[in-house]
Amino acid sequence: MQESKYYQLLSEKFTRENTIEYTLALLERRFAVEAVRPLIPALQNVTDLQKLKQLLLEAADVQNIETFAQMLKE
Amino acid sequence: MQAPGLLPFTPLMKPPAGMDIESWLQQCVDATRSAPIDQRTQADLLCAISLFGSIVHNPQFFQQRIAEGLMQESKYYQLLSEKFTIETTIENTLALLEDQFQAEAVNALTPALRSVNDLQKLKQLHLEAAKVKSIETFAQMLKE
Repeated sequence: MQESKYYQLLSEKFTRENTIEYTLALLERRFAVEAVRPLIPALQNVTDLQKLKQLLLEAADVQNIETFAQMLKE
Repeated sequence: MQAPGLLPFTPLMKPPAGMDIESWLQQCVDATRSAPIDQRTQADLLCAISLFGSIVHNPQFFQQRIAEGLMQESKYYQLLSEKFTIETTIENTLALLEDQFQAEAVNALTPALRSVNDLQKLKQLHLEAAKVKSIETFAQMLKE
C-alpha cells in the first residue's frame, strides 16, 4: 500500500500533525504555556517536514523561546 | 441507492457525456455523503472513495472536498491514524536520542522501541527522550 498516493498523502499529513503536536509538547514542558501559545499558528503553517523535524530537535534543547521563535521565522 | 458499497468505485468510471471530470468527482462525493446509510459506514465509504479515486485522480481533490471529521469514524481511517502516529512517535523519539547519544547506542535500542505498540507509553518515552540524562536510563524506561 505504501505506493498508494492516498496512503502517502495520509502518511505525510499524520507525520506532520504529530510532529507539530510533539514539538509543542516539548516546548510547553520547558517554557510557559503563554509564551508557547503565540507560536502555534506559525508552527502549524510549516509544511516542510524536514524543517518540522529540525524544529522538534531544537524544541528539546533551545535556550529560550525567543530563539525558537527566530528559528521558526527562518 | 441500492448498493452503496459500489460508491467508492464511481470515481474510476467515465463521467456521463458532457460532464467534466471535476463535476463528476464532485457528484461521486456528494452521492456518498447523501447515501442513506449509518454514519460509520458513510465514513468508511468516504475513506474508500478517496483511496480508490486517488488511483487515477489527484488525492488532493478528495482531501480538499471531504472534511477529515467526516472520515474519523471510519475503522480504516482510525487504523491508519494510529499506525502513522505510532510510527511518527518512534521516529521522532529515535531522532531525539540520536541528537544526544552515539548512534550505536541508539541503534541497539531501536528494535525494542519499535516493538512498543502502546501509544501512551510511546508518548511518554518521546518526552523522556528529550531530557533523559543517559541512554542507559532510557533503556531502563523502555524495559519497564
